[in-house]
Amino acid sequence: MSIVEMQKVHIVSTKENKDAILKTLRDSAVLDIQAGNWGLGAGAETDLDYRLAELKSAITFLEAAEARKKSFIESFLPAREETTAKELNKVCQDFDCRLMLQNTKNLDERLANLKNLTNELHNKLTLLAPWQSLKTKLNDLNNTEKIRVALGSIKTKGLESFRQALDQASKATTLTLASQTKESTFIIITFLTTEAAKIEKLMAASEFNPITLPLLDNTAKAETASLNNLLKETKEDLDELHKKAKRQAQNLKQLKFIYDNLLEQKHELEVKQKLANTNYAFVIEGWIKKSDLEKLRNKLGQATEVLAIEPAKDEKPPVILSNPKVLAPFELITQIYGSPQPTEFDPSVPLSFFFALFFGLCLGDFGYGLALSLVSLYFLKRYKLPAGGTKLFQLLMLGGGTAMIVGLLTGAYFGFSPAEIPVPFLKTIQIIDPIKNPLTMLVFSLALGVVQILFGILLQMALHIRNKEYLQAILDDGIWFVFLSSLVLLIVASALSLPIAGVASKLSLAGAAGLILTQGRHKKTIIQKFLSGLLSLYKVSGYMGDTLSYSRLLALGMSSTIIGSVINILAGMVKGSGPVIGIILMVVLLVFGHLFNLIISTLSAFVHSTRLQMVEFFSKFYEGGGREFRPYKRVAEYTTIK
Amino acid sequence: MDIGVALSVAGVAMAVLLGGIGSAWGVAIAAEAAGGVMTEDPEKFGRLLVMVALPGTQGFYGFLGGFYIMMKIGLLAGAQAVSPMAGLQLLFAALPVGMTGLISGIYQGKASAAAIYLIAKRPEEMGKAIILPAMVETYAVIGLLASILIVSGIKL
Repeated sequence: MSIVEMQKVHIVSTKENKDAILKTLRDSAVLDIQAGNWGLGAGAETDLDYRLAELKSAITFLEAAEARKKSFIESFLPAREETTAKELNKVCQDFDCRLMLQNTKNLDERLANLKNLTNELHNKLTLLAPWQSLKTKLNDLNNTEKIRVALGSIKTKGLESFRQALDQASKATTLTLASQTKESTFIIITFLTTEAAKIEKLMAASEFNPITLPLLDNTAKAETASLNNLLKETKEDLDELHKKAKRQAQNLKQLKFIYDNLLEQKHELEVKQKLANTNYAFVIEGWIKKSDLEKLRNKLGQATEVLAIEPAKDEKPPVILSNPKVLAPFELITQIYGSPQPTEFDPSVPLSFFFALFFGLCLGDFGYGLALSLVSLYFLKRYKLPAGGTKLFQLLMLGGGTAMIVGLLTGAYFGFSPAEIPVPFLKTIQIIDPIKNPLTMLVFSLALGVVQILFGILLQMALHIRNKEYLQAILDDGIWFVFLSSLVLLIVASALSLPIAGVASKLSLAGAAGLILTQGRHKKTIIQKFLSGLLSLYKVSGYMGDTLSYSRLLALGMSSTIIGSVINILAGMVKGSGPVIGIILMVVLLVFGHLFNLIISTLSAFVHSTRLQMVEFFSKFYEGGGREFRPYKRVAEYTTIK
Repeated sequence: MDIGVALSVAGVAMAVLLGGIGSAWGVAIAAEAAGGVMTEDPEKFGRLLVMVALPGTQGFYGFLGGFYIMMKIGLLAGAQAVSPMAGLQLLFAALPVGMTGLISGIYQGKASAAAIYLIAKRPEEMGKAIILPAMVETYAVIGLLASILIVSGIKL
């Protein structure tokens, strides 16, 4: 359970060895390279960023064209192409990437143009659709010197009154129907220019909505037919281009290889910037595990000097956590919060027991625990997960295990209680039913909180002792520990009327006195010392709040069990709805209901157990904010090298 | 059916309604943010879905609180007699889970939206992003707990 000891090194060699050494370092991935106090060198001018962006957009386009259905899991875990360094290099040398990119770009542009054209045609067709019945050519529907023509739509239910109003206003005005739907009617009005003001006023009053058609030497019907022809041709072109794009997508693999190759080139340039160079030699500065030092020396050979360097006083080495295999998954929680400072403990081990227990209590069902463990196991075996993903599923598997134990003890099997299952043995191992005795479970949850908080204070004390800060260890952590634990003892003793209540109350008074006397020791005057000592007692309320926060263990455990039992009750109800359909409905409801509850409850269990570690537990002893060890190694987005 | 049962049913309705509204509201806020992010990067769907689901729990807590009252008065098996005063008590018992669910649901939705923007820029920080909205949920959990404890203490 610890943080691995690191060594700062300088690797010195002559210039001509640079590339070979960097390659060795990259392939062995043991050195976290940093810029020394010589600072970052000037970056070389390259077009790598531009070329990467170009490749990326081509890959995105072709992936869309390929239209391969991606599974939901793939959105978390993009599948990577496995290859060898040799094959990758061969592809990068042989494949004509320029031509391919140019073709893809052309295709992309032409597709976009055709899509725009299609939209345009659709718009025109929609515009012409209501005027199909017109026998006149569209450019004849124009104003003349004496006569005006107005095309437009009007609400169908207002049509009659509009017609009457026109009739009354002028004998020389005609109204022609072009087409009619339930809502609107498309009409053409012709009227004398001299009467325009009067008629236009009427039109406005009846919410006449003017429409302008293109002035074509054609009827609407004929125009529609030719537009439809054009649309058909465009669609054929589009299909052709899609097919072409799909064919090009066969080269996706090569493009991805080249992308990763360029990405690595860029990475190498960035690393080279961190080196110090002279005319003939260069220096790499970095951190390495102490245990890896000799191995690296052997690998790099005689011509290269690997010097162990004493770090500067305020310099912090990067952090690697190292724990036994069973406990390693819990490092995930630590890493989410932030790696420890080199001067701190790795909290992964102390939190492991609590996290597993809390997760089990929150999920709290044998069936769900079993399902979660099996699913996690499947993922671990079936998929090649990144390091964080592996830890997550191992964590879920362990949490599923504790949930099974909790489920056995509290009698929860997919929401069923032992009374509903014909296995009498299950009844005998049940020690509590949280739904019937929520208070007992509440006290148990709070007790767990008390234990974890006191444990946190002890850890702080151990840390102070390790760092030789004995005064703080005794005056801060020691007295607080005595005070809080005697307070707890006092509460328990008076609740159960135990005889030790008297001792506990004296002890807690002594603790309080100790706090008042010591907590203000940094202040200047006696009065300030006393006052801030007194004020420090207020921190008790903080500890109380922390403890109450553990009540969520009860609430979440109950929620998963009760939702499970509700699903079972509902399933029992639909069973009676018909001879065959009832059974089908019941099975569907059971499967989807429990699956849903499993997902929601697992999410809650994970999030809230994590929170209890981070907020209530870490606040007692852990700071975090250390720099994670990031060795120089190959970066890639699409490929892995065997 | 007497007035006591009616009041209890009002309690059930209150718990389920308020929690459900809070969650629906919160999930909608988060989903809008997720939709915006996905216009740029549809690949993030899976991660974002988790964040969108986070404010959804209040609805369940409300349902749970309501269900606990239903069990208390045996509503599914044809409701036993409930005195008017006990009914009123059950109605009030529904308030903690209902109100905390309503308000925390909305605010958790906002916190989730912020976390979604975090993931949009730094997908590797998913772990941290998922914890922040959960801070808001604490108070809905406490509301549920209070309701359950009150209900289990009421004598019909």
